Amino acid sequence: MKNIISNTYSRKFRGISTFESEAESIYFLLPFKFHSISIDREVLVNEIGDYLIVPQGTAKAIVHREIDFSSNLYRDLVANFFISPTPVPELLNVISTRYRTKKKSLGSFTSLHIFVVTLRCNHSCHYCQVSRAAESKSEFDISYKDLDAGINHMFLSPSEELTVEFQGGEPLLAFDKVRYAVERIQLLNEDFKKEISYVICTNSTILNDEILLFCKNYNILISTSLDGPAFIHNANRFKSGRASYDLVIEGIDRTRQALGHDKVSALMTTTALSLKYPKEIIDNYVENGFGNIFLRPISPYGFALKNQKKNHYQTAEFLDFYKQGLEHILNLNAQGVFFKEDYTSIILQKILTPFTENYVDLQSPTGLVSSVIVFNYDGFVYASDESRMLAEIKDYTFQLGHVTQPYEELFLGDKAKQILNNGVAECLAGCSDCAFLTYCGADPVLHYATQNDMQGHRAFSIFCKKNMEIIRYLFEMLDIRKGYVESTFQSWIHKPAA
Amino acid sequence: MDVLASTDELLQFIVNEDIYSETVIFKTIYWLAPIASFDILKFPPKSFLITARPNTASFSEEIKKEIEIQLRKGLVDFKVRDLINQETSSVRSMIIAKAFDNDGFLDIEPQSQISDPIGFDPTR
Ligand code: SF4
Repeated sequence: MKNIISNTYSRKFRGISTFESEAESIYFLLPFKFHSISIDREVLVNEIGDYLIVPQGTAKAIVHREIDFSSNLYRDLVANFFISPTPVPELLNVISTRYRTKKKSLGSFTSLHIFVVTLRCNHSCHYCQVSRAAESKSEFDISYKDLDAGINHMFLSPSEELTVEFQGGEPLLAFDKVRYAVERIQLLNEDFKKEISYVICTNSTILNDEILLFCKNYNILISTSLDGPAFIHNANRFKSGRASYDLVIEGIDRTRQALGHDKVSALMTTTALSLKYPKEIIDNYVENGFGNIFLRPISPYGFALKNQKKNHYQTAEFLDFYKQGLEHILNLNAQGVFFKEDYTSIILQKILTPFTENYVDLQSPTGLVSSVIVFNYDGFVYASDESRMLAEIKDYTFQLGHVTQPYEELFLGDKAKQILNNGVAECLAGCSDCAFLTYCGADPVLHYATQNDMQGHRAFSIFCKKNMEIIRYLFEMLDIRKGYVESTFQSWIHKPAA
Repeated sequence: MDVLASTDELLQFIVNEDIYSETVIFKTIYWLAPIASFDILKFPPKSFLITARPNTASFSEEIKKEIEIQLRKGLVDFKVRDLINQETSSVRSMIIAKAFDNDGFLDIEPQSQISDPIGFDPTR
């Protein structure tokens, strides 16, 4: 950069021709892709995720050098790195830095470490992806030895920021293991000095003062499950004795009192029953004091597949549900209620900012192993939560090994490499030409589970169908409903949920 | 693209290979796999023969129309994408190589001067 500037000279008193564009006769293309978003509009997306929404046929006109140099479009295309007046763009370093920012997750390696401390549970949810064990069967708890080995592996991660997530079953049925793990991690971290955050994924029905005090002392977040109003939640999440919904709401209130309002988040799962009630589910979240919801389709894994009637639906049905929900959420925002949809926010952050969320499903290269790892209750190590769900139906494709094996064998071994090789969307048929690549991901586990192929065929992929339509829909909204919708979307990515 | 045959069991199209490459044709039919199965053959002297057969028992009139529309649009779109890819592959490699050039060893500089119309040179 320095060389170039020192080679320049003053143009203060030079003739008018000096100030005319240097690209009088030709411009050069920079890498970009395009996708039709409606009958007459298409979106252009460049290598770093910047976009322009333009009339259909613009991409073709750009390639055929039909863009008028004096037009605003020409200036927009240059300013947004779609074309360049010079063969190598003057701001190549800026583009590369932006590219690096988009791939930031590669720099840190595994950050999310999931410990499945037990398979025991006090619920029988019909969509449960794992084979839950009875509450009393403590042989389904992780051993202290395996817990220690998992913690040691975690500290070998080069990532400076670590998230420890305790899952089950119901992890609080093995609270002794949770306590042990947190105290051990804290002790070891006196030497390692990493930024560590903790999450317990619990159904919130057995939270007590002892547990909450412990969570307060270690700043542990609670992530609970709430599927919407009682008639949906209880139908999805069966519990003998008292109805689950009442216990969960009590648990949420109690946690907020003990830890603070923002220390509890909730996740919902969309079942066939939920599809008819997007508004009711969202309103229930608002009534219960949440500022966000993640409209999440059911995962087609493990035991969830057994109950087809309750759990199976077409992607198109989910997309209808999602769009109705998003519309309702936008209406709430218009009425002054700040509320956001999480999946939309993750995608919007990729579209509207130079940054990207480390959300595993929407990462390329895949976030399996390189962002997330699972230490299962039996000591086996999996590439993700979904991978261990496959293992519950005896498919061990994504099992990396046992926690007692060395770090290199687990995280850098042949299995990990095979998963990563199949998880680079830039190299996958279909994705490599897709305009939405920068906002999307690869998801080898889902493609393996649904197509028996880690790469999968995108034309048959439920993952692709969902993402392509959601991203197209968001661009269509940004185009035809600019003003209010765009400012609401901006607020979602810049302001945390209440 | 010309239609060679159109029955309930078979659709055939002729595509000039001077206009659309094999890559462009394959990328187009990739996305049509859910509605038909395809074969591509050379059709001398300078064309490709695209044959579509129904995934179910037979084609409906709507599906036949849909396949033709999607083929025509896909060929044009993928040709444009192909031209972009061909023209930009080296710049794309530079962007990515520089992005991950942790040690700053790569010496790729733009082949032009930065516009400095008011004569301000911060290095002086
Ligand atoms: S999965 Fe589909 S939407 Fe996503 S990048 Fe690939 S082709 Fe595009």
